[in-house]
Amino acid sequence: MADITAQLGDTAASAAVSSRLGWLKGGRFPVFLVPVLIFYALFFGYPLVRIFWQSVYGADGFTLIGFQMFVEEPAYWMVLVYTGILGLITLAITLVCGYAVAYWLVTMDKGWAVLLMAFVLIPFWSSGLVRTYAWLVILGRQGILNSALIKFGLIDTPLAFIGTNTAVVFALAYYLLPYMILSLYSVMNGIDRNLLLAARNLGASPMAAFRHVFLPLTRPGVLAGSYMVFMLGIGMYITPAMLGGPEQTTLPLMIAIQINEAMDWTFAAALSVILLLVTGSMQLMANRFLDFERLWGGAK
Amino acid sequence: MNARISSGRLALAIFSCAVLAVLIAPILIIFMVSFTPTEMLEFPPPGFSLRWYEAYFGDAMWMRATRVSFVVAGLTAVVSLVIGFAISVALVRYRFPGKALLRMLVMSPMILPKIIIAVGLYFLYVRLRILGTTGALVVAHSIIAIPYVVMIVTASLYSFDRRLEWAARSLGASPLKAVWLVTLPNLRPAILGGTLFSFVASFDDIILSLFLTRLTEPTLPRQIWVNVQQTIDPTIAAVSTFMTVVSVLGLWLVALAQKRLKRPQ
Repeated sequence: MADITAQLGDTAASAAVSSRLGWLKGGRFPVFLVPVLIFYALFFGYPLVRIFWQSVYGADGFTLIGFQMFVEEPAYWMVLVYTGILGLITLAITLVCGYAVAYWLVTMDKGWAVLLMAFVLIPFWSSGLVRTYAWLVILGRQGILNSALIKFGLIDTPLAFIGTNTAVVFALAYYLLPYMILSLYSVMNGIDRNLLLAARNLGASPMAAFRHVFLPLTRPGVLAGSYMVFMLGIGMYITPAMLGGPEQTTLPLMIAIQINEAMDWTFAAALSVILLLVTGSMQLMANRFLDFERLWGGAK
Repeated sequence: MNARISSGRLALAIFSCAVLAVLIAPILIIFMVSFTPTEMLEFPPPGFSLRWYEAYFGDAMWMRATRVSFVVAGLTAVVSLVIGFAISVALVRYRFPGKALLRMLVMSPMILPKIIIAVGLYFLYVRLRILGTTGALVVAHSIIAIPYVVMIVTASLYSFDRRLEWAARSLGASPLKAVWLVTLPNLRPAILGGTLFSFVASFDDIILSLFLTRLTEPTLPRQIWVNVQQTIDPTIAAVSTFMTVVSVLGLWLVALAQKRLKRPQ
């Protein structure tokens, strides 16, 4: 995955070359795409449209009851606010930890860095469910942490970690940290270290060289990593569901409850539309800062 | 001055090591407790036993879930490779209006909250009366796996030197033969990488499985989910270790294939 991200820069360059060769001038629609487009219209386009439609369609035709319920009940507002705050705190933690680790890995001996990268890649490659379950095993009432604390005589009765904000924030940051480290690492790895040496030679202190030369150059990595962590963070379902209590209800959790327990499709769809609007506006903001052509291997 | 740099450097090293240790610790802990001989999860485990692996591989319910997961992941890999490959070829080798839009459409499941896709498909599948079928889940998983295939295959297509293909053509090969004998062998690492990536994306998915499978025919992650709610049974640790080995091995092979791809051809 790290390799893929690193490769994206090169692909953009070769794209420019291949389009200059101009193998196919003018437009010609590839016919084999027709079944693909039908597939996407049915299984991706329709479901999204259906969510919007379902959100304003109840038992007796057109209704705004779903949105009305949301607007009139402050508890639902709080869920939205909580989801956003959770995303921001997670982002702050992963950014600080991720920047330090990525910087350390980039500035150390290459051989060691490759070895230590396994500590980032193995969790990154493992399933999110397994990694969340691991925290349940560690933080549970009869979990490893409580047993250890009791054994060493630090506490008498087990502490309740599950169902606290700390547990949810921690596990969420844990889950998303590899994304941050990898996007920072791939950008930092491409920075020419001679620039820092040049700054030092011109009389800058190591701190000044870092702040005025290195830090600005890592901006694309910071933005891409933050974008990924925040978007994934506010959409996460299993972490708050498994490690949180009723107090830690996030928007995705509430959508699932409406579908599975309350069976209120209209309200579930309205909540989904709200989540879509939040992520959509994030996306619009990100479009201004992020070069998606590069992020996604731009096809010109 | 120098002392200050190295003390800063030391602090950075200690902090980074601590973060890396926290990153790997939960996975190591699950790995170790899965070999516990006791009824309860104990760390460090007081002995070594394979009883929870026997419990996993001897249990009909767990085996059924494992089979479902492998079948769905295998089919997802095939479906997303075919569709992802077609899209990649269109994106790299054709020019047509709406290309940027197509790319955005195909890549968007990567950042869209998965629960949105799950809810939308749930509405559709209930209406079509195909909720809980294998095919329906394969389609859902393909939607989230195709972006990875497209990412890997387009990268490979761009770096492929098309003059090789033209050389084959000028030496008398038919267009199909040139693609078959020259282009495809060069794309082999990307094809392998894309297939494995979509296999793992499907194998690890929990949210779509939660919404779109039947309780009587769950995938492995959904079965873990159901059991976690009921007990803290070390069998789950054994199953988790098994799942981790499958996905880490799969994605490690993807990384290897990517390395081969990057080597000059």
